[in-house]
Amino acid sequence: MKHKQPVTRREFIRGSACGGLGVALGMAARQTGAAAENQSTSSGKSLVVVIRDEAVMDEQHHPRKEAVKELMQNGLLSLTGQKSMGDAWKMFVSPANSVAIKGNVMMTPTHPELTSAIMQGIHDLGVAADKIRIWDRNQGGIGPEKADHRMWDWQPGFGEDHVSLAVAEADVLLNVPGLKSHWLSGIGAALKNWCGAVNGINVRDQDASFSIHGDSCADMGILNAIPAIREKTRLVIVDALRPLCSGGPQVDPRYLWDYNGLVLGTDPVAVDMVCLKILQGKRDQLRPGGWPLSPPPKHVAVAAEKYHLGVHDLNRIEIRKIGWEQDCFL
Amino acid sequence: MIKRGRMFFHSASSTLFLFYLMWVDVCVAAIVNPTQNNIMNNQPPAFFLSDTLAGYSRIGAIETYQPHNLYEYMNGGAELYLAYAFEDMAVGYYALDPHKKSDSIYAGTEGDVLVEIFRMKNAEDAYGVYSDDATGEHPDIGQDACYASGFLRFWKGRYFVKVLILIDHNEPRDSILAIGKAIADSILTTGSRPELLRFLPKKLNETFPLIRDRVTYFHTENSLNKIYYVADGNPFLLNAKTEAVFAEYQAQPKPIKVLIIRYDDTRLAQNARDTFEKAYFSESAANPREDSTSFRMETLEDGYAAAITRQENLLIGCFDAESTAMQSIMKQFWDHIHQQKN
Repeated sequence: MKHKQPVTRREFIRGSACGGLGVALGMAARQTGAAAENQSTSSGKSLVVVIRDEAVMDEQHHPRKEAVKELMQNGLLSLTGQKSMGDAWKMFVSPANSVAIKGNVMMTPTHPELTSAIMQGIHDLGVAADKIRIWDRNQGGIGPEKADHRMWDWQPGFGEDHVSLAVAEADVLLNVPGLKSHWLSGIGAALKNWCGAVNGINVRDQDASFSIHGDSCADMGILNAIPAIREKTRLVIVDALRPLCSGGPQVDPRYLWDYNGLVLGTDPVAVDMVCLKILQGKRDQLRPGGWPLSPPPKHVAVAAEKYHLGVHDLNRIEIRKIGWEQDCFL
Repeated sequence: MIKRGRMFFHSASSTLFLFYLMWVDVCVAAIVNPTQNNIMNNQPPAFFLSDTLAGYSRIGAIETYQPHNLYEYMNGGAELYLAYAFEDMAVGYYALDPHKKSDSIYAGTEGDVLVEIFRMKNAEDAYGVYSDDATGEHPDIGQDACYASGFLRFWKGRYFVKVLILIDHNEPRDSILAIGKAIADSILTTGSRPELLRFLPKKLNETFPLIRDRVTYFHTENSLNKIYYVADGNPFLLNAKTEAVFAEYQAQPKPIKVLIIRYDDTRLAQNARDTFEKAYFSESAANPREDSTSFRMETLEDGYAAAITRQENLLIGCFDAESTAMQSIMKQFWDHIHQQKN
């Protein structure tokens, strides 16, 4: 995104940078006259479901498999408004489809308990096991029994366009990242997860297939706008069971905490806006007085404004909270 | 002594004993021969990943990485280290029972404990990487250390070290600290902290104490953006040669932030001041600039003030302070810096 004047911290304090992203970052002005951009609409809100269960993690911070499955199912039923899981899945997948799930295996990975519940749910719908795949970068697994990244034995490869062949070979894509802060982009959630669907990228953008890392990864949305990814991605389920609120992508246990939740939606920008509020809420709790995500996650607003990938105005996002309320940060 | 080491190497009877002998050889030589001090100061990081550490056994081969392939190990996390004068690193996994299947809860890892040792080109940058986030308790390991939640970070000499528990463990502290201490003890040289740290008063206006865990030494824009985002476009003209320290002072309801930057030359410092002023302050601010060394302050939309001032090749920025306190804060900084220089 080109700016005639550089975006500064002041714009975030005013709430005028990146279409009100500053408000989501807890930088809202004290003065009433400095309100954020606020274009509320009466219709067209993006629905994001945040579902939590106080007991979904055990004392050792491990997800309880059955509880995760129940959480995912209830979240999906709420998002779709359906009464049965079959009908809920049919909103996104048909039994004849080939489905690829984009997980994340960096050191704060998508929990296998979640990917297993998703893959099994799709299989129960009637999708053949060999048509249900999960991958990140050039590693993956085929079939629900390979939901755990530690068992992956499939290498999907990349096309000449530098996009994973897992994308090309699928009819339907599901985006299932783990929620984390990221020191180059501010946040790693739905939009950033597609970094693992392409090759030929590097942090300094030298001779890169996609130049996404400059300006705090502002142009990350270019990956989501790849036609095959944009057209095939039907659903986002963010693993917020035990997110990371500072120091990502490398794991830093000082900043992992049991949020015990999932964030579901079909609009990746709206989902990321909600995830931002969760991370920011935790950071402000850890450091009273405010600990804004740095760098500010510009790519979320840019994804909306430049690539039209979704809604980033919180007034146009309906956040449906279900379950455990303590420290929900929403 | 060296021959004895080689003999044991060829007989392959005890790798552990070999490490011990190598260590003793080099230590003794370092005492009698100053040149050997340089050798000790230049050991590759893998040297410190011995077969056993505090009762834990290393499993698998040591992995080593240089600047050109650090991304392969940590992807985007590499830039944090490349923003400093990173030379190379080594990774080792350790387990209490090396024959037991790994229960690591983190993807791509194995064993019970992960140890990463980074070698920087100078001690100041080893401190810099450490200071990126020094939150936690501060055990007496290396030259500075922080520990929390099964995660130890410390620096000593040119080395920055991370020790991380990878498995569920109710009381990992003692084990992690013991491993860290074993490594720290095998690094025989120490190094200097960045001189810029001396420019930070311990207390501002006799009221606001320096927060020990919130002092970060760095060079580049990416590092500043991670600590405290100010603006796009590198308004402070930071580069690999600039030295900067960002510090927070305890105040209510939020800490006062101070940024000190030392440039290669006065002209660059002046340009940086002008660039920041143009980007950050409104044109109609109450304190028009008379020259590039003048103090400039503006109260922002949240009611707190930001200010900038320069002398010679040093730039000081201050954020999130009450406007009534700002001028005295800046004066105190310059007085303190001049005192330290003299």
